[in-house]
Amino acid sequence: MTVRTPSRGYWPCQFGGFGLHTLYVLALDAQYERGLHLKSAVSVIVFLFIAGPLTMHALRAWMLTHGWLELSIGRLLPRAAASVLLLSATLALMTGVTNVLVLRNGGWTVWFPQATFGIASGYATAFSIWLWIYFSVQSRRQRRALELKALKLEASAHDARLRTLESQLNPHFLFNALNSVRALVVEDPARAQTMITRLAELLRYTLNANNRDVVSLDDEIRAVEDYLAIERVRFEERLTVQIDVEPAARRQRVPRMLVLTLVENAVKHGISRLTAGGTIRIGATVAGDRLRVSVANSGTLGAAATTAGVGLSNARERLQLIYGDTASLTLAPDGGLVVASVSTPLPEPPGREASAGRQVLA
Amino acid sequence: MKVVIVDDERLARSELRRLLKPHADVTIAGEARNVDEAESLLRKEPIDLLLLDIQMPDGTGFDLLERLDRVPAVVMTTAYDRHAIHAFEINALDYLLKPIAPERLAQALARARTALARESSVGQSQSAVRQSQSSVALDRVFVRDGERCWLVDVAEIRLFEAEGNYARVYFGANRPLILKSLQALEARLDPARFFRVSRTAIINLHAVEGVENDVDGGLTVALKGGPAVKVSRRQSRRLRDELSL
Repeated sequence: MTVRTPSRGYWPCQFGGFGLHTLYVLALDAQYERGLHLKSAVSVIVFLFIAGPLTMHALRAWMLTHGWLELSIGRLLPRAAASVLLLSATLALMTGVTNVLVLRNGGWTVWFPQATFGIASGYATAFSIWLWIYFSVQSRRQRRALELKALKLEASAHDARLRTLESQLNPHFLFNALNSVRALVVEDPARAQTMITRLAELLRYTLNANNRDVVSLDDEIRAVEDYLAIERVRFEERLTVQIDVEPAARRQRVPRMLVLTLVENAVKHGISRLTAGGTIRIGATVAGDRLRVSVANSGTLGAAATTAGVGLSNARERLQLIYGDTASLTLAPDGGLVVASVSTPLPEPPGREASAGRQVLA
Repeated sequence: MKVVIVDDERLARSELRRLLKPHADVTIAGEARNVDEAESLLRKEPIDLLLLDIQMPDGTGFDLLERLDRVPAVVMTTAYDRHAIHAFEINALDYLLKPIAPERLAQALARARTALARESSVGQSQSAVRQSQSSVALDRVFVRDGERCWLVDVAEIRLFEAEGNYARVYFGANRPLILKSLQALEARLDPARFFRVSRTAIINLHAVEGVENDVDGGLTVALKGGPAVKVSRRQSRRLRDELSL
């Protein structure tokens, strides 16, 4: 972790806090020594007002580079206590030695051991309060950032739902499907019934108000199958479908509508532009600690790339929000096919994912 | 009424066939699954009405209309296409939304019948072209200019102006370009109405507002709604005869 530039209030707070502490110590000294001695005042100002903020600033840099902000409270407390003790003792010793040797402000017996011990406990108190304030501010910030991220995720899922209805499971698909089914009612009533059921299932899946960001790949694939069955009615022999999903992959979780979006893209920018039609091939495997899903369609990338970009960048945005930089989505030509590949990290070690998956989905 | 159905989905075509069955005066002259098939089908024989899908594998219905020399009456069919529907509405192109309601189809057919009847009464003189050139006279042009498109009655066009390989078409307040040469247009236009005034212009004689003699012996013709067009000297003589000046 890199050391960030402190926020605007950081240095005023540092010097304000240590300044007040310095004034307090000066006042105590003045009372104790019946008047303020220049040497004592210089010592207090140098070792408290100046050395205090600088020491804490160095500690902050140390904590940030060593990732203390990510530590649990149990692991943080001993580290914080040790550093407070070490820094307090060091500074107190330096104060005593400097006063005796440099400032000639009294002999060794005046400073050691009692006065130095008092100074050390003063430092320890100040540093402890400093750390307490620092970590409260940081944890509050982290909480706010988390809340913001959750809000963003929610908004993007919401958006994705809207966009799905608007542009992906788009009205064009819906009305074309209804038109095909209307013709099927005369030609093949039994198949028309099946199609109406599938269309209903698919609509339910996309309209589902339940705000689950991720679903099992199994659920997603079932929606994809409904979708493709309906498109097969439209495209007939022009659309061939191959689905090859490992059982282990089916248990994994994917963002809702992710695969469906890719398949819709494949139909819209691939199959529907080919006079003779083509194939859509869907595959999913678990490889090591990653889930890989691919959607391939006949066709070339070329002109479709710009329009397909909207749906894809949409999907990428959701992946980024859910998985950060650990997930990827690529679109590339591969020997007469256009292949969209998604790779996401697995949330659990392979042995446990089945039960964990069920828990989260329940 | 001879009708051709153009749609890439078999079920959509058979649905249209079924919907057309109750209309006794409709004969289905053919079906096409894409732009290429439709183009070759329409080149073979003239038809009266085209029921045309928009999205097809090798292009759009608009691409087909642009490629045609002779555009029949057209009713676009689409499931849902906001942009296209907007275009139809501002340009008064007839369209049907899928699934197609039988009453809406009946309306569209009635409208097409009216248009065809009007054309056959107006277009008596065109039979001359049909016989002399053994091809069909141009009575409607499909024009696309960016987002806008028009299915323009040739009679409404006052001027075709050559611009490279293109022709600029003047009608109403519009003057878009079409990818057709003046030669090709001249061969298909009704000679009783359209007159080639120079290498670069064909005018609609019914749109002539005034004629002026130029100093060089030629003529300048003012058209209703503009512009004024210079007539070459050679053609000026013929134009004087034509307008009996």
